[in-house]
Amino acid sequence: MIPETEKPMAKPAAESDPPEEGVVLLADSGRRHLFDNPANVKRLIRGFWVACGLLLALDLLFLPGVGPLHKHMSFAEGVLDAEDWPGFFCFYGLGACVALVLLAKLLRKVIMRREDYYDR
Amino acid sequence: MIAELHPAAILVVGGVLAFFLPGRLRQVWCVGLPVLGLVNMLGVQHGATAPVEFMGHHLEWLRVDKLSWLFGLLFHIAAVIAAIYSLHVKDRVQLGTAMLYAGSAVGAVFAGDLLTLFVFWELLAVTSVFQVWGRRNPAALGAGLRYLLVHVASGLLVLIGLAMHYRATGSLAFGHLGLESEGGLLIFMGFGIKCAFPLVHTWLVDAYPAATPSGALYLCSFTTKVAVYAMARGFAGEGVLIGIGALMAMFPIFYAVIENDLRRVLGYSMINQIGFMMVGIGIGTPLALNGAVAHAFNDVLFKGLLFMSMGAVLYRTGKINGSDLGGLYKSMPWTAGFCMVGAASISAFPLFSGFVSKSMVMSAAADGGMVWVWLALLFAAAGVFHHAGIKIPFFAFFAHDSGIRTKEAPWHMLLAMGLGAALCIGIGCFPQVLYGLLPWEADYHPYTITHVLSQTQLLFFSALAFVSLMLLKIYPPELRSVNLDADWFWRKGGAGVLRAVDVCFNGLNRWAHAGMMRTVAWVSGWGGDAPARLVGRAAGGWYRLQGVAPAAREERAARLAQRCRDGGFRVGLMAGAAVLMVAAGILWFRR
Repeated sequence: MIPETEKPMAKPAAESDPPEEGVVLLADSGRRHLFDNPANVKRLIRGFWVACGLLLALDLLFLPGVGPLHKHMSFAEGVLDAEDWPGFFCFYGLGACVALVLLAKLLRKVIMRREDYYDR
Repeated sequence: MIAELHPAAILVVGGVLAFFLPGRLRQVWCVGLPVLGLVNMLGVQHGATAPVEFMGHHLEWLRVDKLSWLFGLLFHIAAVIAAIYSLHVKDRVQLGTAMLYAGSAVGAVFAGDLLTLFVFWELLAVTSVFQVWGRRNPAALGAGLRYLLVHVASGLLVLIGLAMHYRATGSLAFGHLGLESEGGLLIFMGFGIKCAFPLVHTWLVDAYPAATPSGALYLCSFTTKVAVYAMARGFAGEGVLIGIGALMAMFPIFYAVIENDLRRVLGYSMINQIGFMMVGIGIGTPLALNGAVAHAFNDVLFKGLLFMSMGAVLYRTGKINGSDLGGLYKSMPWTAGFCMVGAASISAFPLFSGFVSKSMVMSAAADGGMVWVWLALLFAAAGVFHHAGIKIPFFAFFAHDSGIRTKEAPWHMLLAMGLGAALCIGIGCFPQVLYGLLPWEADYHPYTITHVLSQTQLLFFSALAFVSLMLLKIYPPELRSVNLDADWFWRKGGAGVLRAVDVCFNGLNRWAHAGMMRTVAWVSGWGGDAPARLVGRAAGGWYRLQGVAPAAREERAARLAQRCRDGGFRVGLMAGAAVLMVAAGILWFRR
């Protein structure tokens, strides 16, 4: 199997459409921007890990005997108890998106074609 | 006085006039029209009707109730924003048809009978295709033609369905239709095509990315939302819509993850959002229907905002593929900001508009005890954030720096995006304003601690999946490519049918042609010469009996045969007899 990145998928440049009106392409001014500094990217990602951890920890407030709050369930009692598990939405979101990406990568093997597939 | 005008009249008549106005005036005119239309519509009373007798049928050109009024309001707001966004467009055809397009959307939602709905339904298809063709390149021409064919098919289904419905019930009124009758089923399929049901959804992801920057904005505002309105009016509570909607919410997100053209990603994400609306309409409780309608309202605004930001990127850089973009936050910070507001709204972050409507449908599903539907929608909600909420802004404005440096979007695009963003945040923060306009009676409070926390957890951990997969380099890279979809069957399969037909029928044709020509050649050659040869033979035999010498015999026989070929006999006597007989016949019958 050829790795995805090495397959020649792009149209030859000569067949691309001519530039349209409104297009403005400038030279780089040399100014350093926020995320040009890798330290800032690191800071952002670190902040994000902390936020995720905090959100997961917030579910403790709903645990009987630990926190004072109780959940406002979507379903009637006994229909879907999983909803009340600590971290249910965290793990569902994480699992759903990992599954989504992995399945989409598999899908790519089946349905991806050259960019000018329909023109030939 | 002005309040007596039909809400669509200003846009339709003004749209026709727009064709004849000169440059700048036309652009300003097109902003003024929807504003005027909005003022006019605010004056139209609920319950207003305009019955007309047409060829013995009772038609309702105008039916104003809370449902049609809400969609009318939405379409006017969308048209104002889109007109401001297209202030750079000089193309008279594109601007004129855009106003007619908005007018037909308004006309369709205020139509009280099926025939009027059908007229505006067709007008929608015809006027909208110019938003694609306005791009004026071969790809747009092809995509527009395919788009038009699909929408004409949708119109035909509605037309046949309404004729059958009329024969069965004797009424053209557009109320609840249901799937029990054949007519209702056909109309349902016609509506379904415009709703982008699975397998017939490809017109959307084919045409929208091919349209002009402003054209895509018009397209995403009207066509599918008219269809959602029609579905809510005609088929509320039809259970099959729940399954269709759940499927629509699920499958496009897989495509969206691997699609490179960022406007096509938005197209897939649009089908996913319509899926939520279809589930809501299918459940059919007041809360679910309100959720579907409110989500349609919000979708026009946040999807419009996303299309505007991507349109601005395309307008400024000439590129829209994720693989070609990146780092644009440096050149277009305002566009990037507005894009992120749209992304937060579609992902349903608290305080943004999607939060207050998407969960209405999900709550309605939970109230009905539909566990699988609820889990599917939750999966779709996480997936939306993944592809529309993160992927769109990330690959366009951040990711690796593509080295493209450009100017910020023009002021009028920023103004339009600003209006859209303000509405998204406004509705998210003050949902009661929107809830007060919803057609059905249902009590709903989005801002409970549980809902805010669980939704935030869902979204942050979806983002966690994205960040982790990115850092681990598992996330699929943006690649220039085409992904096959259901339209393969008519784009490639259609070509196959054409080849098969070519081989069968043209083969038959060639075979018949060749056979025919051989027969004709034989008849006119060998067969045509036969009498002469017969005469030659007979004469030869006759001369032999007479005892003529062989050389002279052959020569005389050949001369006779040649005379036979040339028609060189002395036939005066026979001709005279024939003329006399014709003359006698004429005299006889003239008596």
